[in-house]
Amino acid sequence: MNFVIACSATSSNGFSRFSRFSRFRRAGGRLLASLGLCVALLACVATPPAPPPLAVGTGDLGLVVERASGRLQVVNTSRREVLGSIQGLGDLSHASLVYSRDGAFAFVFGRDGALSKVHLPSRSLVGRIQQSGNSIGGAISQDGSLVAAQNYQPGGIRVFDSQTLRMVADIPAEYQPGKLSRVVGLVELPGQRFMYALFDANEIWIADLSGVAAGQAPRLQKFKQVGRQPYDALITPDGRYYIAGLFGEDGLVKIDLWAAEPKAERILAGYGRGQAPLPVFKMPHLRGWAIAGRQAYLPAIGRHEVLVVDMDSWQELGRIPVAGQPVFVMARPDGRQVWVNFAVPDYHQVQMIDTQSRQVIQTLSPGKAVLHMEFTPRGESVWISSRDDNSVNVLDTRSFERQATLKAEAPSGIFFTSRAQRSGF
Amino acid sequence: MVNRNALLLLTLLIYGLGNPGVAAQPAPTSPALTDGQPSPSRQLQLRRMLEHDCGSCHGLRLTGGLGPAIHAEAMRQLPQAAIAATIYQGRPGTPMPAWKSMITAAEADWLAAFMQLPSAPKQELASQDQRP
Repeated sequence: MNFVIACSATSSNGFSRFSRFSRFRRAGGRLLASLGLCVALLACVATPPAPPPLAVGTGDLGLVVERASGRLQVVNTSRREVLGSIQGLGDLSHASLVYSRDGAFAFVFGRDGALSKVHLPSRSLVGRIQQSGNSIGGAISQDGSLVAAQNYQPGGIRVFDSQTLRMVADIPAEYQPGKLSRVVGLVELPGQRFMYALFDANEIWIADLSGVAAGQAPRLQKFKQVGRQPYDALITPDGRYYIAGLFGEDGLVKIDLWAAEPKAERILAGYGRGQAPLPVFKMPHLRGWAIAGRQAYLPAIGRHEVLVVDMDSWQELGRIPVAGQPVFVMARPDGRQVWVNFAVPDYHQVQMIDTQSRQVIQTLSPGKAVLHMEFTPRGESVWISSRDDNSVNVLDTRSFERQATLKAEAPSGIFFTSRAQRSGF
Repeated sequence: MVNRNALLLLTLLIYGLGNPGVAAQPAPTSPALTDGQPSPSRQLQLRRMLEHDCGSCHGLRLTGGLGPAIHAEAMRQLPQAAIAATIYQGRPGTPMPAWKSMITAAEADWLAAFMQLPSAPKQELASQDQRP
Protein backbone atom coordinates (compact mmCIF):
# COMPACT_ATOMS: atom_id res chain seq x y z
CA MET A 1 0.00 0.00 0.00
CA ASN A 2 2.78 2.39 0.91
CA PHE A 3 4.48 1.54 -2.29
CA VAL A 4 1.44 2.34 -4.39
CA ILE A 5 1.09 5.68 -2.69
CA ALA A 6 4.74 6.44 -3.29
CA CYS A 7 4.22 5.71 -6.95
CA SER A 8 1.19 7.88 -7.16
CA ALA A 9 3.17 10.82 -5.91
CA THR A 10 5.10 10.76 -9.15
CA SER A 11 1.97 10.74 -11.28
CA SER A 12 -0.09 13.64 -12.50
CA ASN A 13 -2.36 15.69 -10.28
CA GLY A 14 -5.06 14.16 -8.12
CA PHE A 15 -7.97 15.25 -10.22
CA SER A 16 -6.95 13.49 -13.39
CA ARG A 17 -6.12 10.40 -11.38
CA PHE A 18 -9.59 10.41 -10.05
CA SER A 19 -11.33 10.83 -13.37
CA ARG A 20 -9.26 8.03 -14.77
CA PHE A 21 -10.38 5.94 -11.87
CA SER A 22 -13.98 6.79 -12.55
CA ARG A 23 -13.71 5.66 -16.15
CA PHE A 24 -12.12 2.48 -14.96
CA ARG A 25 -14.87 1.85 -12.51
CA ARG A 26 -17.46 2.10 -15.21
CA ALA A 27 -15.58 -0.42 -17.28
CA GLY A 28 -15.33 -3.22 -14.80
CA GLY A 29 -16.10 -4.86 -11.50
CA ARG A 30 -14.17 -5.43 -8.38
CA LEU A 31 -12.08 -8.26 -9.82
CA LEU A 32 -10.92 -5.99 -12.60
CA ALA A 33 -10.21 -3.32 -10.05
CA SER A 34 -7.92 -5.54 -8.03
CA LEU A 35 -6.23 -6.74 -11.22
CA GLY A 36 -5.75 -3.12 -12.10
CA LEU A 37 -4.09 -2.49 -8.77
CA CYS A 38 -1.63 -5.35 -9.43
CA VAL A 39 -0.92 -4.00 -12.89
CA ALA A 40 -0.37 -0.57 -11.37
CA LEU A 41 2.05 -2.02 -8.88
CA LEU A 42 3.94 -3.90 -11.58
CA ALA A 43 3.97 -0.88 -13.80
CA CYS A 44 5.65 1.05 -11.03
CA VAL A 45 8.36 -1.53 -10.71
CA ALA A 46 9.03 -1.83 -14.40
CA THR A 47 8.66 1.75 -15.60
CA PRO A 48 8.75 4.24 -12.71
CA PRO A 49 7.23 7.25 -14.51
CA ALA A 50 4.08 5.41 -15.65
CA PRO A 51 1.13 6.75 -13.64
CA PRO A 52 -0.73 3.92 -11.96
CA PRO A 53 -4.39 4.20 -12.89
CA LEU A 54 -5.85 3.14 -9.57
CA ALA A 55 -3.52 4.81 -7.12
CA VAL A 56 -6.20 6.76 -5.32
CA GLY A 57 -5.35 6.84 -1.66
CA THR A 58 -8.06 7.10 0.96
CA GLY A 59 -6.13 8.94 3.66
CA ASP A 60 -7.55 12.35 2.84
CA LEU A 61 -11.12 11.33 2.22
CA GLY A 62 -14.12 11.74 4.44
CA LEU A 63 -17.88 11.59 4.61
CA VAL A 64 -20.39 14.27 5.49
CA VAL A 65 -23.82 13.10 6.60
CA GLU A 66 -26.74 14.93 5.00
CA ARG A 67 -29.14 13.92 7.69
CA ALA A 68 -32.48 14.73 6.14
CA SER A 69 -31.69 13.40 2.70
CA GLY A 70 -30.40 9.94 3.53
CA ARG A 71 -27.22 10.82 1.69
CA LEU A 72 -23.48 11.00 2.32
CA GLN A 73 -21.11 13.37 0.62
CA VAL A 74 -17.66 12.04 -0.15
CA VAL A 75 -15.13 14.81 0.45
CA ASN A 76 -11.43 15.28 -0.05
CA THR A 77 -9.74 17.10 2.81
CA SER A 78 -6.59 18.11 0.90
CA ARG A 79 -8.46 19.80 -1.91
CA ARG A 80 -11.38 20.75 0.35
CA GLU A 81 -13.98 19.69 -2.12
CA VAL A 82 -16.92 17.38 -2.58
CA LEU A 83 -16.14 14.42 -4.82
CA GLY A 84 -19.69 13.14 -5.05
CA SER A 85 -22.41 11.55 -3.01
CA ILE A 86 -23.76 8.19 -1.96
CA GLN A 87 -27.52 7.93 -1.71
CA GLY A 88 -30.18 5.71 -0.27
CA LEU A 89 -29.13 5.48 3.37
CA GLY A 90 -32.48 6.08 5.04
CA ASP A 91 -32.97 8.01 8.29
CA LEU A 92 -29.60 9.54 9.07
CA SER A 93 -30.56 11.66 12.05
CA HIS A 94 -27.91 10.97 14.63
CA ALA A 95 -26.11 8.79 12.11
CA SER A 96 -22.58 7.81 12.87
CA LEU A 97 -20.10 5.63 11.10
CA VAL A 98 -16.84 3.77 11.47
CA TYR A 99 -14.18 2.99 8.88
CA SER A 100 -12.58 -0.20 7.70
CA ARG A 101 -8.89 -0.07 8.46
CA ASP A 102 -7.99 0.57 4.81
CA GLY A 103 -10.19 3.65 4.93
CA ALA A 104 -11.97 2.59 1.78
CA PHE A 105 -15.20 1.43 3.37
CA ALA A 106 -17.44 2.98 5.97
CA PHE A 107 -20.13 1.29 8.04
CA VAL A 108 -23.01 3.65 8.60
CA PHE A 109 -25.41 3.20 11.49
CA GLY A 110 -28.75 4.78 10.70
CA ARG A 111 -31.35 5.82 13.21
CA ASP A 112 -33.80 3.51 11.45
CA GLY A 113 -31.74 0.49 12.43
CA ALA A 114 -30.09 0.01 9.06
CA LEU A 115 -26.41 -0.84 8.74
CA SER A 116 -25.02 0.30 5.42
CA LYS A 117 -21.59 -0.36 3.97
CA VAL A 118 -20.31 2.20 1.52
CA HIS A 119 -17.18 2.32 -0.63
CA LEU A 120 -15.61 5.77 -0.76
CA PRO A 121 -13.37 5.58 -3.84
CA SER A 122 -16.23 4.41 -6.06
CA ARG A 123 -18.85 6.35 -4.07
CA SER A 124 -21.18 3.41 -3.92
CA LEU A 125 -23.45 1.66 -1.48
CA VAL A 126 -22.16 -1.91 -1.41
CA GLY A 127 -24.24 -3.46 1.35
CA ARG A 128 -27.24 -2.66 3.46
CA ILE A 129 -29.12 -4.63 6.07
CA GLN A 130 -31.97 -3.77 8.39
CA GLN A 131 -30.39 -4.92 11.61
CA SER A 132 -32.72 -3.42 14.23
CA GLY A 133 -35.61 -1.06 14.74
CA ASN A 134 -33.60 1.82 16.11
CA SER A 135 -29.85 2.22 16.23
CA ILE A 136 -27.58 4.88 17.62
CA GLY A 137 -24.08 4.04 16.49
CA GLY A 138 -21.43 1.40 16.42
CA ALA A 139 -17.83 0.34 16.59
CA ILE A 140 -15.35 -1.76 14.64
CA SER A 141 -13.11 -4.36 16.25
CA GLN A 142 -9.38 -3.81 16.70
CA ASP A 143 -8.59 -6.12 13.77
CA GLY A 144 -11.34 -4.67 11.60
CA SER A 145 -13.12 -7.98 11.17
CA LEU A 146 -16.24 -7.28 13.23
CA VAL A 147 -18.66 -4.39 13.21
CA ALA A 148 -20.96 -3.94 16.20
CA ALA A 149 -24.13 -1.85 16.29
CA GLN A 150 -25.62 -0.48 19.49
CA ASN A 151 -29.37 -0.53 19.48
CA TYR A 152 -32.20 1.14 21.33
CA GLN A 153 -34.83 -1.11 19.81
CA PRO A 154 -34.45 -3.93 20.57
CA GLY A 155 -32.00 -2.91 23.28
CA GLY A 156 -28.65 -4.61 22.85
CA ILE A 157 -25.79 -4.98 20.45
CA ARG A 158 -25.53 -6.96 17.26
CA VAL A 159 -22.22 -7.90 15.74
CA PHE A 160 -21.54 -8.45 12.06
CA ASP A 161 -18.82 -9.77 9.83
CA SER A 162 -17.35 -6.63 8.29
CA GLN A 163 -16.82 -8.32 4.93
CA THR A 164 -20.28 -9.78 4.40
CA LEU A 165 -22.47 -8.01 7.00
CA ARG A 166 -23.57 -11.46 8.15
CA MET A 167 -24.64 -11.34 11.79
CA VAL A 168 -22.26 -13.28 14.02
CA ALA A 169 -23.74 -12.41 17.41
CA ASP A 170 -26.92 -10.96 18.86
CA ILE A 171 -26.50 -9.86 22.47
CA PRO A 172 -29.71 -8.47 24.00
CA ALA A 173 -29.11 -6.06 26.87
CA GLU A 174 -31.43 -8.04 29.09
CA TYR A 175 -30.88 -6.75 32.60
CA GLN A 176 -34.00 -8.25 34.13
CA PRO A 177 -36.07 -11.08 32.73
CA GLY A 178 -37.77 -9.72 29.63
CA LYS A 179 -36.41 -6.19 30.07
CA LEU A 180 -34.00 -4.83 27.49
CA SER A 181 -32.01 -1.66 28.02
CA ARG A 182 -31.13 0.91 25.41
CA VAL A 183 -27.42 0.70 24.70
CA VAL A 184 -25.08 3.70 24.52
CA GLY A 185 -21.35 4.37 24.59
CA LEU A 186 -20.25 1.38 22.52
CA VAL A 187 -16.48 1.18 21.96
CA GLU A 188 -14.08 -1.51 20.85
CA LEU A 189 -11.49 -2.95 23.21
CA PRO A 190 -8.30 -4.80 22.29
CA GLY A 191 -9.09 -8.29 21.10
CA GLN A 192 -12.50 -8.99 19.71
CA ARG A 193 -14.20 -7.21 22.56
CA PHE A 194 -16.75 -4.44 22.81
CA MET A 195 -17.72 -2.37 25.82
CA TYR A 196 -20.97 -0.46 26.27
CA ALA A 197 -23.33 1.08 28.78
CA LEU A 198 -26.96 0.23 29.47
CA PHE A 199 -28.91 3.46 29.87
CA ASP A 200 -31.92 1.84 31.53
CA ALA A 201 -30.03 -0.63 33.71
CA ASN A 202 -27.22 1.51 35.16
CA GLU A 203 -24.78 -1.15 34.01
CA ILE A 204 -21.70 -1.40 31.81
CA TRP A 205 -20.94 -4.59 29.93
CA ILE A 206 -17.98 -6.06 28.10
CA ALA A 207 -18.74 -8.61 25.39
CA ASP A 208 -15.85 -10.82 24.35
CA LEU A 209 -16.39 -12.34 20.93
CA SER A 210 -13.03 -13.98 20.50
CA GLY A 211 -14.54 -17.46 20.61
CA VAL A 212 -17.40 -16.77 18.25
CA ALA A 213 -15.54 -17.88 15.13
CA ALA A 214 -14.99 -21.25 16.86
CA GLY A 215 -18.68 -21.55 17.63
CA GLN A 216 -18.59 -20.36 21.24
CA ALA A 217 -21.11 -17.91 22.64
CA PRO A 218 -19.91 -14.37 23.46
CA ARG A 219 -18.62 -14.04 27.02
CA LEU A 220 -20.09 -11.18 29.04
CA GLN A 221 -18.58 -9.29 31.94
CA LYS A 222 -21.01 -6.98 33.74
CA PHE A 223 -20.42 -3.99 35.97
CA LYS A 224 -23.55 -3.25 37.94
CA GLN A 225 -24.85 -0.15 39.69
CA VAL A 226 -22.33 2.08 37.95
CA GLY A 227 -24.46 5.20 38.37
CA ARG A 228 -27.79 6.44 37.14
CA GLN A 229 -28.54 6.58 33.41
CA PRO A 230 -25.18 6.41 31.64
CA TYR A 231 -25.84 8.34 28.42
CA ASP A 232 -22.58 8.05 26.47
CA ALA A 233 -19.01 6.99 27.00
CA LEU A 234 -15.49 7.19 25.70
CA ILE A 235 -12.39 5.09 25.75
CA THR A 236 -9.07 6.87 26.25
CA PRO A 237 -6.68 6.68 23.29
CA ASP A 238 -4.51 4.09 25.06
CA GLY A 239 -7.55 1.87 25.62
CA ARG A 240 -7.07 2.00 29.37
CA TYR A 241 -10.01 3.96 30.76
CA TYR A 242 -13.65 3.68 29.87
CA ILE A 243 -15.50 6.78 31.05
CA ALA A 244 -19.28 7.07 30.95
CA GLY A 245 -21.27 10.22 31.56
CA LEU A 246 -24.31 9.95 33.80
CA PHE A 247 -27.54 11.68 32.98
CA GLY A 248 -29.29 10.81 36.23
CA GLU A 249 -26.70 12.27 38.57
CA ASP A 250 -23.83 14.71 38.83
CA GLY A 251 -20.76 12.73 38.01
CA LEU A 252 -19.12 10.29 35.67
CA VAL A 253 -17.99 6.72 36.08
CA LYS A 254 -14.64 5.30 35.00
CA ILE A 255 -13.35 1.79 34.70
CA ASP A 256 -9.59 1.16 34.60
CA LEU A 257 -9.23 -1.75 32.22
CA TRP A 258 -5.58 -2.22 33.07
CA ALA A 259 -6.36 -2.87 36.74
CA ALA A 260 -5.98 -6.45 37.96
CA GLU A 261 -9.68 -6.39 38.74
CA PRO A 262 -11.39 -3.58 36.87
CA LYS A 263 -14.20 -1.93 38.78
CA ALA A 264 -16.55 1.00 38.26
CA GLU A 265 -15.45 4.11 40.15
CA ARG A 266 -17.20 7.44 40.37
CA ILE A 267 -15.32 10.54 39.26
CA LEU A 268 -16.32 14.20 39.56
CA ALA A 269 -19.18 13.21 41.81
CA GLY A 270 -21.37 16.18 42.58
CA TYR A 271 -19.87 18.51 39.98
CA GLY A 272 -23.16 20.36 39.88
CA ARG A 273 -22.86 21.02 43.62
CA GLY A 274 -26.53 20.61 44.19
CA GLN A 275 -27.58 23.37 41.80
CA ALA A 276 -30.60 22.55 39.70
CA PRO A 277 -29.36 21.51 36.27
CA LEU A 278 -30.61 23.32 33.20
CA PRO A 279 -32.88 21.44 30.84
CA VAL A 280 -30.70 19.39 28.53
CA PHE A 281 -31.75 20.09 24.95
CA LYS A 282 -29.28 17.68 23.48
CA MET A 283 -27.32 14.90 25.09
CA PRO A 284 -23.61 15.66 25.06
CA HIS A 285 -21.39 13.27 23.15
CA LEU A 286 -18.37 11.89 24.88
CA ARG A 287 -17.31 9.91 21.90
CA GLY A 288 -15.22 12.56 20.26
CA TRP A 289 -13.19 12.58 23.43
CA ALA A 290 -10.95 15.43 24.38
CA ILE A 291 -7.91 13.97 26.02
CA ALA A 292 -5.18 16.58 25.89
CA GLY A 293 -1.96 15.47 27.50
CA ARG A 294 -2.85 14.15 30.96
CA GLN A 295 -6.09 16.06 31.12
CA ALA A 296 -9.56 15.13 30.03
CA TYR A 297 -12.02 17.83 28.97
CA LEU A 298 -15.58 16.72 29.52
CA PRO A 299 -18.96 18.34 28.92
CA ALA A 300 -20.88 19.13 32.12
CA ILE A 301 -24.42 17.94 31.56
CA GLY A 302 -27.08 20.58 32.19
CA ARG A 303 -24.55 23.37 32.68
CA HIS A 304 -22.64 25.84 30.58
CA GLU A 305 -19.30 24.39 31.57
CA VAL A 306 -16.49 22.16 30.42
CA LEU A 307 -14.90 20.16 33.22
CA VAL A 308 -11.16 19.56 33.31
CA VAL A 309 -9.96 16.41 35.01
CA ASP A 310 -6.45 15.31 35.85
CA MET A 311 -6.03 11.78 34.58
CA ASP A 312 -3.48 10.73 37.20
CA SER A 313 -5.41 11.73 40.31
CA TRP A 314 -8.86 11.87 38.64
CA GLN A 315 -9.52 15.08 40.54
CA GLU A 316 -11.19 18.11 39.01
CA LEU A 317 -8.61 20.68 37.94
CA GLY A 318 -11.14 23.30 37.08
CA ARG A 319 -14.17 24.16 35.05
CA ILE A 320 -14.32 26.46 32.11
CA PRO A 321 -17.40 28.61 31.56
CA VAL A 322 -18.60 28.32 27.95
CA ALA A 323 -21.30 29.85 25.76
CA GLY A 324 -23.93 27.15 26.14
CA GLN A 325 -24.48 23.49 26.93
CA PRO A 326 -21.55 21.64 25.41
CA VAL A 327 -22.35 18.84 22.98
CA PHE A 328 -18.97 17.92 21.50
CA VAL A 329 -15.77 18.72 23.35
CA MET A 330 -12.98 17.69 21.01
CA ALA A 331 -9.22 18.05 21.18
CA ARG A 332 -7.28 19.00 18.09
CA PRO A 333 -5.11 15.95 17.34
CA ASP A 334 -2.07 17.56 19.02
CA GLY A 335 -4.07 18.36 22.17
CA ARG A 336 -3.13 22.04 22.16
CA GLN A 337 -6.69 23.18 21.54
CA VAL A 338 -10.08 21.91 22.56
CA TRP A 339 -13.10 22.89 20.46
CA VAL A 340 -16.61 22.97 21.83
CA ASN A 341 -19.99 23.21 20.16
CA PHE A 342 -23.35 23.65 21.83
CA ALA A 343 -26.94 22.54 22.09
CA VAL A 344 -29.87 24.59 20.84
CA PRO A 345 -30.34 27.60 21.31
CA ASP A 346 -26.61 28.43 21.47
CA TYR A 347 -25.58 26.30 18.54
CA HIS A 348 -24.62 29.12 16.24
CA GLN A 349 -21.36 29.39 18.17
CA VAL A 350 -18.21 27.38 18.52
CA GLN A 351 -15.59 28.06 21.16
CA MET A 352 -11.94 27.17 21.33
CA ILE A 353 -10.16 26.48 24.61
CA ASP A 354 -6.41 26.87 24.86
CA THR A 355 -5.26 23.89 26.91
CA GLN A 356 -2.22 25.70 28.30
CA SER A 357 -4.16 28.55 29.90
CA ARG A 358 -7.41 26.53 30.14
CA GLN A 359 -9.37 29.49 28.90
CA VAL A 360 -11.68 30.14 26.01
CA ILE A 361 -9.58 32.17 23.61
CA GLN A 362 -11.82 32.19 20.55
CA THR A 363 -15.55 32.40 20.02
CA LEU A 364 -16.60 31.87 16.45
CA SER A 365 -19.92 32.00 14.63
CA PRO A 366 -19.30 29.71 11.71
CA GLY A 367 -22.96 29.25 10.79
CA LYS A 368 -26.44 28.42 12.00
CA ALA A 369 -27.06 25.20 13.92
CA VAL A 370 -23.55 23.82 14.20
CA LEU A 371 -23.90 20.10 14.74
CA HIS A 372 -20.42 18.64 14.43
CA MET A 373 -16.73 19.35 14.01
CA GLU A 374 -13.97 17.21 12.60
CA PHE A 375 -10.25 17.86 12.45
CA THR A 376 -8.10 16.99 9.49
CA PRO A 377 -5.71 14.15 10.35
CA ARG A 378 -2.98 16.42 11.70
CA GLY A 379 -5.25 19.22 12.80
CA GLU A 380 -4.38 22.17 10.57
CA SER A 381 -8.05 22.58 9.70
CA VAL A 382 -11.37 21.93 11.32
CA TRP A 383 -14.50 21.18 9.33
CA ILE A 384 -17.71 22.43 10.90
CA SER A 385 -21.19 21.43 9.79
CA SER A 386 -23.88 24.06 9.89
CA ARG A 387 -27.24 22.41 9.46
CA ASP A 388 -29.41 25.48 8.96
CA ASP A 389 -26.96 27.16 6.59
CA ASN A 390 -26.73 24.02 4.50
CA SER A 391 -22.99 24.29 4.52
CA VAL A 392 -19.76 22.90 5.85
CA ASN A 393 -17.11 25.47 6.69
CA VAL A 394 -13.43 24.69 6.79
CA LEU A 395 -11.44 26.83 9.21
CA ASP A 396 -7.72 27.19 9.78
CA THR A 397 -7.16 26.15 13.41
CA ARG A 398 -4.32 28.64 13.90
CA SER A 399 -5.59 31.78 12.18
CA PHE A 400 -9.32 30.86 12.40
CA GLU A 401 -9.71 32.06 8.84
CA ARG A 402 -12.23 30.38 6.61
CA GLN A 403 -10.48 28.21 4.07
CA ALA A 404 -13.50 26.88 2.21
CA THR A 405 -17.26 26.59 2.32
CA LEU A 406 -18.88 23.50 0.90
CA LYS A 407 -22.57 23.14 0.16
CA ALA A 408 -24.39 20.31 1.88
CA GLU A 409 -28.05 19.70 2.62
CA ALA A 410 -28.66 19.90 6.40
CA PRO A 411 -25.25 18.42 7.23
CA SER A 412 -24.67 16.75 10.58
CA GLY A 413 -21.76 14.38 11.26
CA ILE A 414 -18.40 14.76 9.52
CA PHE A 415 -16.12 11.73 9.58
CA PHE A 416 -12.64 11.56 8.09
CA THR A 417 -10.90 8.32 7.22
CA SER A 418 -8.13 9.08 9.72
CA ARG A 419 -10.59 7.65 12.26
CA ALA A 420 -9.77 4.23 10.81
CA GLN A 421 -6.45 4.29 12.65
CA ARG A 422 -7.71 5.66 15.96
CA SER A 423 -9.01 3.52 18.82
CA GLY A 424 -12.45 4.45 20.04
CA PHE A 425 -13.48 6.09 16.78
CA MET B 1 -45.84 -2.04 19.49
CA VAL B 2 -49.40 -1.89 20.76
CA ASN B 3 -48.16 -2.69 24.24
CA ARG B 4 -45.49 -0.06 24.02
CA ASN B 5 -47.92 2.59 22.90
CA ALA B 6 -50.33 1.58 25.60
CA LEU B 7 -47.55 1.89 28.14
CA LEU B 8 -46.57 5.26 26.79
CA LEU B 9 -50.17 6.41 26.89
CA LEU B 10 -50.48 5.23 30.47
CA THR B 11 -47.24 6.91 31.47
CA LEU B 12 -48.21 10.17 29.89
CA LEU B 13 -51.68 10.03 31.33
CA ILE B 14 -50.31 9.41 34.80
CA TYR B 15 -47.82 12.17 34.28
CA GLY B 16 -50.48 14.44 32.93
CA LEU B 17 -52.83 13.80 35.84
CA GLY B 18 -50.11 14.06 38.41
CA ASN B 19 -48.65 17.26 37.09
CA PRO B 20 -50.22 20.45 38.33
CA GLY B 21 -48.97 22.25 35.22
CA VAL B 22 -51.52 20.47 33.10
CA ALA B 23 -54.40 21.74 35.15
CA ALA B 24 -52.94 25.22 35.13
CA GLN B 25 -53.11 25.33 31.36
CA PRO B 26 -56.55 25.62 29.83
CA ALA B 27 -57.17 22.51 27.78
CA PRO B 28 -58.12 23.59 24.26
CA THR B 29 -61.64 22.55 23.46
CA SER B 30 -60.74 21.75 19.87
CA PRO B 31 -57.36 21.37 18.20
CA ALA B 32 -55.66 24.66 18.89
CA LEU B 33 -54.85 25.17 15.22
CA THR B 34 -57.54 27.77 14.89
CA ASP B 35 -57.15 29.70 18.09
CA GLY B 36 -54.30 32.12 18.82
CA GLN B 37 -51.99 30.25 16.56
CA PRO B 38 -48.41 31.27 15.85
CA SER B 39 -47.64 33.33 12.77
CA PRO B 40 -46.91 31.37 9.59
CA SER B 41 -43.19 32.03 9.85
CA ARG B 42 -43.13 30.94 13.49
CA GLN B 43 -45.06 27.82 12.51
CA LEU B 44 -42.33 26.99 10.06
CA GLN B 45 -39.74 27.46 12.79
CA LEU B 46 -41.68 25.22 15.14
CA ARG B 47 -42.00 22.55 12.49
CA ARG B 48 -38.30 22.76 11.87
CA MET B 49 -37.67 22.45 15.60
CA LEU B 50 -39.90 19.41 15.69
CA GLU B 51 -38.03 17.78 12.86
CA HIS B 52 -34.50 18.58 13.93
CA ASP B 53 -34.37 19.40 17.63
CA CYS B 54 -37.03 16.95 18.76
CA GLY B 55 -35.69 14.66 16.05
CA SER B 56 -32.26 14.49 17.64
CA CYS B 57 -33.73 12.31 20.40
CA HIS B 58 -36.97 11.09 18.84
CA GLY B 59 -35.60 10.42 15.36
CA LEU B 60 -35.81 12.62 12.31
CA ARG B 61 -38.91 10.71 11.24
CA LEU B 62 -40.13 10.87 14.85
CA THR B 63 -40.11 7.10 15.07
CA GLY B 64 -38.26 7.12 18.38
CA GLY B 65 -34.73 7.03 19.72
CA LEU B 66 -33.67 7.88 23.22
CA GLY B 67 -37.19 9.24 23.48
CA PRO B 68 -40.30 7.34 22.36
CA ALA B 69 -41.94 7.55 18.95
CA ILE B 70 -43.81 10.84 18.60
CA HIS B 71 -45.25 10.50 15.11
CA ALA B 72 -48.92 11.35 14.50
CA GLU B 73 -50.10 7.81 15.07
CA ALA B 74 -48.56 7.73 18.54
CA MET B 75 -49.60 11.28 19.34
CA ARG B 76 -53.24 10.73 18.45
CA GLN B 77 -53.44 8.25 21.31
CA LEU B 78 -52.67 11.00 23.80
CA PRO B 79 -54.65 14.03 24.93
CA GLN B 80 -53.35 17.15 23.25
CA ALA B 81 -53.00 18.86 26.63
CA ALA B 82 -50.70 16.09 27.89
CA ILE B 83 -48.48 16.47 24.82
CA ALA B 84 -48.39 20.23 25.18
CA ALA B 85 -47.54 19.97 28.88
CA THR B 86 -44.76 17.50 28.18
CA ILE B 87 -43.26 19.81 25.57
CA TYR B 88 -43.59 22.90 27.71
CA GLN B 89 -42.53 21.50 31.07
CA GLY B 90 -40.53 18.41 30.22
CA ARG B 91 -40.72 15.15 32.09
CA PRO B 92 -38.70 15.13 35.29
CA GLY B 93 -36.62 12.02 35.75
CA THR B 94 -36.31 11.47 32.03
CA PRO B 95 -34.10 13.19 29.44
CA MET B 96 -37.14 15.11 28.12
CA PRO B 97 -36.35 18.78 28.86
CA ALA B 98 -38.78 21.64 29.37
CA TRP B 99 -38.85 23.78 26.22
CA LYS B 100 -40.48 26.77 27.88
CA SER B 101 -37.34 28.85 27.56
CA MET B 102 -37.71 28.62 23.78
CA ILE B 103 -41.45 28.44 23.12
CA THR B 104 -44.59 29.81 24.70
CA ALA B 105 -47.41 27.74 26.18
CA ALA B 106 -49.58 28.69 23.20
CA GLU B 107 -46.88 27.52 20.81
CA ALA B 108 -46.61 24.23 22.70
CA ASP B 109 -50.38 23.84 22.29
CA TRP B 110 -50.12 24.52 18.59
CA LEU B 111 -47.23 22.09 18.22
CA ALA B 112 -49.10 19.39 20.15
CA ALA B 113 -52.09 19.78 17.84
CA PHE B 114 -49.84 19.80 14.79
CA MET B 115 -48.16 16.61 15.93
CA GLN B 116 -51.52 14.87 15.94
CA LEU B 117 -52.25 15.81 12.34
CA PRO B 118 -51.75 13.05 9.81
CA SER B 119 -48.03 12.92 9.13
CA ALA B 120 -47.38 16.29 7.52
CA PRO B 121 -43.69 16.41 8.43
CA LYS B 122 -43.12 12.80 7.51
CA GLN B 123 -44.30 13.27 3.95
CA GLU B 124 -41.87 16.08 3.31
CA LEU B 125 -39.04 13.89 4.46
CA ALA B 126 -40.26 10.95 2.47
CA SER B 127 -40.07 13.00 -0.70
CA GLN B 128 -36.37 13.58 -0.09
CA ASP B 129 -35.65 10.00 0.74
CA GLN B 130 -33.90 8.37 -2.19
CA ARG B 131 -34.33 4.86 -0.89
CA PRO B 132 -35.19 2.43 -3.65
